[in-house]
Amino acid sequence: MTADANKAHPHDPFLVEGCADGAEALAVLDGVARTYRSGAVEVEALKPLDLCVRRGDFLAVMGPSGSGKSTLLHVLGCLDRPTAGRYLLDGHDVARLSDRELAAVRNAVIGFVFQRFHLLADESARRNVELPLLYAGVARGERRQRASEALDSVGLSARMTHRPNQRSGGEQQRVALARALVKRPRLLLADEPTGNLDSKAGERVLQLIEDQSRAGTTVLMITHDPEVAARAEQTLLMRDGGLSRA
Amino acid sequence: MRWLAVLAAALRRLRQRPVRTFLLLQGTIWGVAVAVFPSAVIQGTREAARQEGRVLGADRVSMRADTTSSAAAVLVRDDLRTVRAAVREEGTALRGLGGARVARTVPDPEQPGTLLTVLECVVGTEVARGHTLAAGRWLAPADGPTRCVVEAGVAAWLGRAALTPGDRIQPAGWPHELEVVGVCAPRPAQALRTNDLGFDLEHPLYKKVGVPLLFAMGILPVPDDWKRSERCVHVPAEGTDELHWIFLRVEPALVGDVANRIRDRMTDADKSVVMLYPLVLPLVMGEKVERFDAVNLAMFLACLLMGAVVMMNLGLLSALTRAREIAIRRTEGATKADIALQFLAEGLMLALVGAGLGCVLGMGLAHLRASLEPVAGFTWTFPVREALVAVSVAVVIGLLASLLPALRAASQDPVQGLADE
Amino acid sequence: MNRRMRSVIREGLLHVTRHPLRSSLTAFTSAIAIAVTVNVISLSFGMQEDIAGDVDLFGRHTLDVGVPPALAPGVKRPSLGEAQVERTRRLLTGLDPIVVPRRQRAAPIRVDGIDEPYRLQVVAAAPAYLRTLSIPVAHGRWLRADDAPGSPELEGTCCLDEASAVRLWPQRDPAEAVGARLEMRIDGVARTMRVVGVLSDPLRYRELFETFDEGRGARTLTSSLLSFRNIYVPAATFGPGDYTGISIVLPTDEAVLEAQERLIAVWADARDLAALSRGSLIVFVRKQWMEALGTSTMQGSMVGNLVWILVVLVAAVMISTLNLITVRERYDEVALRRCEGAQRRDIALQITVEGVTTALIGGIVGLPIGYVGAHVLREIVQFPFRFELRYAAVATGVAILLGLISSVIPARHAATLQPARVLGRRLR
Repeated sequence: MTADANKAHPHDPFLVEGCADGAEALAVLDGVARTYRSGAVEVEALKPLDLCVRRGDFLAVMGPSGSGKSTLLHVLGCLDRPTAGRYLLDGHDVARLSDRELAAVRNAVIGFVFQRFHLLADESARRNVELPLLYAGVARGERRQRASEALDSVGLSARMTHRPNQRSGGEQQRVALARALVKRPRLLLADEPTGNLDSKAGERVLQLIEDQSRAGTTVLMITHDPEVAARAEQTLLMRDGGLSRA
Repeated sequence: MRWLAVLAAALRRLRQRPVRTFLLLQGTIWGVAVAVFPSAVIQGTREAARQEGRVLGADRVSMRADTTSSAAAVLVRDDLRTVRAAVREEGTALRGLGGARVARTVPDPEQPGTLLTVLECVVGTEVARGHTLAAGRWLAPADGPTRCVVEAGVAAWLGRAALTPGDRIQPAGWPHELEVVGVCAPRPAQALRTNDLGFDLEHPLYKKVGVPLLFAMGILPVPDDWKRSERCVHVPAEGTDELHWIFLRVEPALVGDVANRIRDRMTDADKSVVMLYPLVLPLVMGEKVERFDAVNLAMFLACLLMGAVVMMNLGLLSALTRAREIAIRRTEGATKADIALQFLAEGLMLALVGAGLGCVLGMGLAHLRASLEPVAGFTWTFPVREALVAVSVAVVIGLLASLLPALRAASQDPVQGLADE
Repeated sequence: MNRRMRSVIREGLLHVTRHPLRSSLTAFTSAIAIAVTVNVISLSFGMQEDIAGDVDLFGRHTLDVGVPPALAPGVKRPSLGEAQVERTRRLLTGLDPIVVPRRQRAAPIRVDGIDEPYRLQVVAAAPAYLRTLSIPVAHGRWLRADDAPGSPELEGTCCLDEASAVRLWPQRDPAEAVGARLEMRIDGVARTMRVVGVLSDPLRYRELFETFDEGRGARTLTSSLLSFRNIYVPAATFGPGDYTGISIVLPTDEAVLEAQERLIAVWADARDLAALSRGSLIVFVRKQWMEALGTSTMQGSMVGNLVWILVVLVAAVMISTLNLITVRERYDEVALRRCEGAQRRDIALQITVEGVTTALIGGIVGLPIGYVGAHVLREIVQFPFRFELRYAAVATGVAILLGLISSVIPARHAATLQPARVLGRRLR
């Protein structure tokens, strides 16, 4: 099935560039497609596409809403499985992983930052940041320690016990970022991280993401703001479920 | 007209979310059902006992000597006087009184087990046994030993198409011919499957539950098929004083009291008797059973309360999650009162629909309960008064439960609601 | 249990405390259900246990040979005299039986100053009769072989059941009945009897028995004896004539069964309808009677408890609904947890812990409510009622079960949630 899908579309030389050297590649999408069935209608959210994300890359994906950016992010984040094609994450075929293994991958490898923060409203910032460690089975003392460090690293040590809804949007997004970073992810996926923030707060969050990239974390960021996209090393364009170079 | 539109909107919303509505209704449905179904059974059964007492044997007391006592074990004609006095003492009227000696039982050579039974009766026994007349007349004091009144099945047993007054018959072994003066009407099927204790012999649960229960109560099964055989020949009792059985009929609600009184009076007369009468129907007819309404009331309130909690909880939640809807309505000109009214209307609709369904379910439960009872005459009717009370209480509780969500929804800031989403 | 599981359980517990209003409403529902359960248990199961205990006193190792309570037309009453007593003794050789023939009948009883007589069952038997019961003498003493039978000339001696004493002298303490006199009229002859002893009342739930006793007109054989509202007199008080029954006590359960087998080889089992028509003596094992009583009260209360069982079921549906609603409101949270590496079973475990905890809290609140409720109901319904710590344990078990059952659907629902769908929906 994968082979057929591969035949159906020509490889884009740019998007797979550098993946010849397998050691460099962190995530490789090979003819990956995602279709949804909504009633009798089949919606092609992702057309068969190729993508190679190398270690240390800082990629931005731009595109109008509904173009399939989020679906791409979900597939890359192992939240969703492709309906066709092959997705190699760190050399493992995601399609072969069980539901439990996918959860473990999300827990250990991937960091998420969402436009709407998605913090647990009833929990303190620290407990929000501890969340991934909890599912990793980390002992409580170490959890606290690492959560404090992560909050520190986003400049939020002072008000650790405050609830998210008592914070500004920028602070909330920094908590979310701390939560993504606390597991020391190899791939940081950010979905419109500045979309709900004013420019000053947005700038601060972007700065932190840039710092992460510089420190060696692979980053893929979705945005529709060209200024934000310009911060990335490379920008990809998404339109109608297809991916192209900017 | 504005509130009508609000009600309609509430109903529409309930219909749009059928699963949610169904779940929300559970408390009200079961609460109302639990409240109405016992009354349905009690009232229906009481009515049945009152109206069909004769068919069900609900008004009948049979009495025989107690073979397990050291006291005299023979009933005689004189004992009828004791019975009459005891009934008078109890302050009620006799609907019939009679007594009989089982003079002879004749097996059918072709159908082993079916007996023709000749009863030597005092006057009035046929009526006391619950018979009605199809043709002719009852036995009268002046009738000599050659007259008889036959039950409906006697003709068939004798191999005849029918018996009419004036016919002459001679049961095997009986010393002389008998002239039929009256023919009893066939008894309804229900009467033929009901024994002296009021149990429905053909009820599937009778053998399984009824007989062991009776055994547990010390009541052993008694071979009394002849009573329901429809093959009894009543002849006047001449020259014999002994009675095997005394039968009487009184007001169904009083059979238990009358029976106890008679037994006491017979004890005073140095006789031990066994009184047979429907065991369960008098209980249902009595006041005692109504005390159990307290239990049902408690259960009713428990169910309703649980339902109310769920309604309130969901109402509160949806007041929050429907912030956007509320905000839009507010911007489109709805007042705080309108929003509150909408939530209250939803509560009202839920309560009404739930209470309606609860009544239906209650009747289903009543039917189930009545059919589980191996007692003849257990049935149900729709208890109008109880249902009205239950529905009203359910509506009030439903409204109260939606009050808090309604207030919370009404006080929500529309600007916040729009901004949030 | 690993650390991860402990953390998940802790998450569930924390959630319960984070939403006090919601949790308390759910707990309230559970409280009602548990209150109802406690009610059921104390009113019904407690009662059944007590009946079983009471019945134990009726003579667990006793069986009776008696006259059938009803005879088919034309069948002669079988005789039960010395010959039959002798035969019984012979049949039971080797089983170490105590064989006590008795005569019994209802008789009008008068005590001073009361016109209307009471009708009580009078039992005339040898002193060994007490051995067929397992009831202690509460006051005074039991009958002795040298006690005088009542006769018109000579004052006799008798013992009473406590309920008889209460009935004859409602104003007095049963202990005061000892030494009192009563007049008993049998076969038209009045005799005076002096009370020498009162047996304690083994029926804790006399009223319940009296309710059953609505059908006492038809009650026969041992049942009138076992209502424990009798008067016991020396065997010679009644004139000569057949016995009404033979009570036999055996040392062990096995001996009872063996005796039954030997006796029904000659006479008939009490439950054998055909034998009743033959006019044979019948054999009645009290233990089987007890078992029948136990089963039928159980079955009766199953039907009677239909309402109660319904309420608990409704509570399960209600709590299930509440939990489901709660889960639906928490799609975002569940999706996020899945995002951060929670596995399906982590989510399911968390929801289940929440459900069970809330139900349990409700259960603990419901216990006293149910206890008080049962008391109130007892006053209104005048039903026997008993409460023991064990029942609290059962109710707690029910609460946990309730929580588990009502968490199944919500937990499944939450665990099968597709995080991408929820997050995607939000972003679009």
